[in-house]
Amino acid sequence: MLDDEEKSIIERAIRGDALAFGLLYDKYHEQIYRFVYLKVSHREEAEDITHHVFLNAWQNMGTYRDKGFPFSSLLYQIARNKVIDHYRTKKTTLDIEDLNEAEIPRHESTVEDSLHFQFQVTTVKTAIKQLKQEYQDIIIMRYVEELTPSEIARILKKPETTIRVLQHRAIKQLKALLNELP
Amino acid sequence: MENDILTTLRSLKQITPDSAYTKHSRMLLLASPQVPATEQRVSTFFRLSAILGAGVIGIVILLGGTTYINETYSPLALEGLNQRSLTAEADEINSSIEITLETIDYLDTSNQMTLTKIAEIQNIAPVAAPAASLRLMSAPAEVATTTPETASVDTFLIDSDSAEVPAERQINDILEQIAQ
Repeated sequence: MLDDEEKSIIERAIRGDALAFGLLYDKYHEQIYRFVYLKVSHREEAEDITHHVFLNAWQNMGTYRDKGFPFSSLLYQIARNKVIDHYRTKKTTLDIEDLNEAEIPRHESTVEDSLHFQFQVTTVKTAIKQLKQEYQDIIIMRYVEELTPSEIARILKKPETTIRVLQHRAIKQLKALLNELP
Repeated sequence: MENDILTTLRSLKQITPDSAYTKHSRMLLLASPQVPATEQRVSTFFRLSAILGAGVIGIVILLGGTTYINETYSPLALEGLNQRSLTAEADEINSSIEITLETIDYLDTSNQMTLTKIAEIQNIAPVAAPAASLRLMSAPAEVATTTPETASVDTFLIDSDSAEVPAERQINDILEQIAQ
């Protein structure tokens, strides 16, 4: 989807065109879901939060103003706030170690690959969850979603140099945590 | 090691939502109405106003409470340290000093008048009352040694057997008038 094309779709969505917003949903839904899922570690909660992120974006499209930021930055900001609200309201959280197999998505074809993937996912998610929120966001955006530092800077509203420093610290800390894990 | 971590992180991109959930969520989303922009602005305006109003009320209550506590329970509210009571006390002392000064001034004036009258009397009747004159001559010295408050007019009264003498009676009348 080209930028100009996306702009026209956003303009249509602002005017209340549900189909246009559907296109935006198709484009960004997976990455927002992944972002949320890696932060809450629970499939159903991630689905629920992701749905509310898009619902919030759709209901507030009327007041959206293009300030030169990508549309994904708005969705990431809503997602971050929703995750914060989720942890604020949720008193008891399910430990990541207690997640049953059904909650971890299966994507590999063979059983061996699937088990290996699940082990990797669990290990990395455990380590990511131990990082502070800001580092979690940067790790997911930079290394999972492969956004550029400038894109992350626009989403997190921080200078690009700061993002680079934070990215370095975050990966260093993640490495240390993965070494500590059994 | 770092490459392994990065590879693992990239592999997390394989996480995708359940397709059934995606379809259901998309359908629900697009079926829900979009809130009109004007309605949102009005809602935002009222919400901001409410927050602002609550903030102002909070500040007023806080300031009022602080002032009340400060005036009622603060050690600065003690009488000896209270600025207002100290000022009132100082004003009271000032006024009492003024009254005393006025009294002193009045007594001094009356003394002066007395002495002037006595001097006049001496000039008027030097022959008619030689004895009284002699006593009066010594009176100023006596007056000088006494305070204005303690100097009695009786000191100056002429006690003569011949009180019928007009000059002596005149002097006594004048002295009584002064005393009054």
